[in-house]
Amino acid sequence: MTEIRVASLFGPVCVSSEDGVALNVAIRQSLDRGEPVALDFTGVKTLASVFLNAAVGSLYASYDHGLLEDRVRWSGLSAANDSVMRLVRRNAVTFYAAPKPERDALASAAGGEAAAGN
Amino acid sequence: MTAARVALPKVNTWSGLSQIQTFLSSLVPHWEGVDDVILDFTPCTFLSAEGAALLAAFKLNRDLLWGTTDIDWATVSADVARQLGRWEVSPLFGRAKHPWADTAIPLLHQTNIDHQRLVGYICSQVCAAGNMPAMSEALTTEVQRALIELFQNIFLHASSPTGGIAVGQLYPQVKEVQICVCDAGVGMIRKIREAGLAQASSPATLEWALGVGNTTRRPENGPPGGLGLYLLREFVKINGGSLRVVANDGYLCQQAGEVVRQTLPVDFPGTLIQIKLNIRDDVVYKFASE
Repeated sequence: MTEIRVASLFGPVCVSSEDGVALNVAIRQSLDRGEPVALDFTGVKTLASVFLNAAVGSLYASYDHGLLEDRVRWSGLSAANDSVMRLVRRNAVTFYAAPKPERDALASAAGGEAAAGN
Repeated sequence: MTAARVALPKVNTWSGLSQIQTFLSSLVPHWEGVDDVILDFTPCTFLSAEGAALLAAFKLNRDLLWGTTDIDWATVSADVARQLGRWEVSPLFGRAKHPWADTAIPLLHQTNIDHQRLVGYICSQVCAAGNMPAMSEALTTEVQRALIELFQNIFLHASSPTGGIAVGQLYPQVKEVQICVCDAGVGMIRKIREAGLAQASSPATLEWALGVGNTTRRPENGPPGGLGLYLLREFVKINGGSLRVVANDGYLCQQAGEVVRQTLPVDFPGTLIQIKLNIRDDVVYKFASE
């Protein structure tokens, strides 16, 4: 089991996608070693969806939903932040589960790097 | 070349849409112009934070172009001039700021996102006013999240040459705080339209943008998105406050469980989001995830 103390790495304000990507890399390293990951958010006050999307949400592009449910745990979040984490996970499952034709249509329509809504 | 004289009407936030619409109608024809503009405040006997945010965005955007943008200070009433000074908008037009902010939340302008400064802005300007009731830690955290999510949206999606702007107003008597975030980018509706995801109308497109998980991002490029505006909307709903969005020709206002959507006769090249929050500590901010 790998324990990652998020506040020690990124401080009490975890809001940037860059920090989220750094946490994502750390989580992947553990998962790829076959180790479960425990994310300790004690001391984290402010969480933005951008951070969690990059850290946790994007895991769902590469790993099985069930594996992530089983091997990535978290603790130390306030009720509000905990609900955001759950929302991020649910949203990621939906995001990556879009049927291929729908994804192709979206990709075709979106063209370059169009994006709205973080 | 003779400068265009642009008369600005008064803008009272609580008057609904008509005044901000008229205000925009005055500014938009000169938004991208290279003409010189002199702003005439004779009709503007009151200016809300929304008006101040638009004014700042207008000035900063035009400063990147050729035309000059000045205020005819002789036409500005003492009250409006003082308020512009408190918001620290007057320095954009060569006038000193007012010595103290009082109940104004001064202008924050970022051309690159600075998360620490955003958090500091909430702590020092929104929460710390001496005559305001204390904000609970939970509310403070949610306001920080809201502001950060809005600025993230600007820097990720808006392509705003002027970056992002925030300005606001405290209402100690009624225990309310108003924060306006504005950019001079492509506008939320145009961005969604360019991605081929526009809905049947501009207001419907705004509604879509506020929905959970709705994003123009693609799974191929991830990460997932579409939660920032949804969280903002839910936060305002739980708080009992209000949310107003003006983007391009779309308008959406959510207040007390009622949502008003409208297509505007003017195409604002940017996005303006206003939230009004109640200073209260009797609610738990927990967002539905199922």
